[in-house]
Amino acid sequence: MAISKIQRTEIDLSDYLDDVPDRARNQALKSIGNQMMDSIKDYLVDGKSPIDGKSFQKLSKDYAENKKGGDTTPNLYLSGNLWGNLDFEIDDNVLIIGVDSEDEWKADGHNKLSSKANDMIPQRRFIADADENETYKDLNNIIKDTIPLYEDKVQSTLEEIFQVMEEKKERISISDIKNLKVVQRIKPSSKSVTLGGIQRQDIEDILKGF
Amino acid sequence: MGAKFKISFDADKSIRKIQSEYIKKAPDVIRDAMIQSMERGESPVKNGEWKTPYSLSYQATINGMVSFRYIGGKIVPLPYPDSIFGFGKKTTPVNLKLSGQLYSDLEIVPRGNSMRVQFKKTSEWLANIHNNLGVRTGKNFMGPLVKRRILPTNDDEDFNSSIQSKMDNLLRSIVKTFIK
Repeated sequence: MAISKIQRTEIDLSDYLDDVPDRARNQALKSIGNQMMDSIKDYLVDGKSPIDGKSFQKLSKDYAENKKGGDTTPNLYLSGNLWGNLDFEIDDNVLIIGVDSEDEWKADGHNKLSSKANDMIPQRRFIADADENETYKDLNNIIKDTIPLYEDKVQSTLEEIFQVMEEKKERISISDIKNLKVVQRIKPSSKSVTLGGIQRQDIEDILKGF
Repeated sequence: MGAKFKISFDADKSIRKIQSEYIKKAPDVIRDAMIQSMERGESPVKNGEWKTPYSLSYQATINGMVSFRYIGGKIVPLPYPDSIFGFGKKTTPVNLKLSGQLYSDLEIVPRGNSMRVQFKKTSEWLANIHNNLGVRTGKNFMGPLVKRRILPTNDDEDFNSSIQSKMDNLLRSIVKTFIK
């Protein structure tokens, strides 16, 4: 997956990362990226712009009946490909939000075509244009809530905890699958997730009582 | 270890407190995150099968435009008001939300030092169909089976990155409260 060079928002978070140690920065940015994906899709589910929160123009009745079983919510979802290709990347301290190059044309159509230029396709902006000082409605709150969780004090304390757990060498079985396979003991976090460069064990390990 | 400064705390005691707080708060966070994923048409399972949209005829059924009855050996479309569903429902993305029962039956139960994700009896069968058996699609239900993975029940599966991130941030927020 390569994010389109045209349909993307580049958000430089360097100014917010002063208190975040280098070893935690990537993960902090990933967390912000994940939350931004959630936020953008949550607005789209309701047929609203993630940029200003305003409702998009509803789908025409004809289109809705022919393509969406009568649902007039303009959520930019037909085959699901555009949503599936909405993603983020991290480049140094820059968070890049956009769509994959293969769906660039679809995104471009929704973002740039306006009802003035073409009555058939109303503009539905969902990728913010940083050059036009556009941003996402929820971005500031997400940054404000997330960055403190990755500051040095928190990071170092977590590392201390992980070290204690390492020393205890306490591990438990990963999962306990029940017969119907719809019941599962949670494996809260992937083994591959790292915190501050330390290979992280399951949160279950961390939280296991002694 | 790359800790820049030493924090004075009783690690064992701290971990027990953090554990207790996490077990208390995590069920709501995880449940909300799972439902949020499903509502936007994404599997709560990382790389989990899900995205196939509903067929047009089923979308129409959901939205009350048409319903299907088995009459004389054939499946016959009938217009609203015969439909058992109502107008105005969202048909995309696929969110497995028809009556809402599946969502309301999702529960996360603390069990000692771990938690169990499960569905209440009333939806266990439906969750099992979506998660494990698959739903037969296509005309006259002759198409492929489509699964929509709700729970990471296989050993090599995990929750999607959004849910993992929320769980991670919960742990961090608890630690942050503790060191204040």
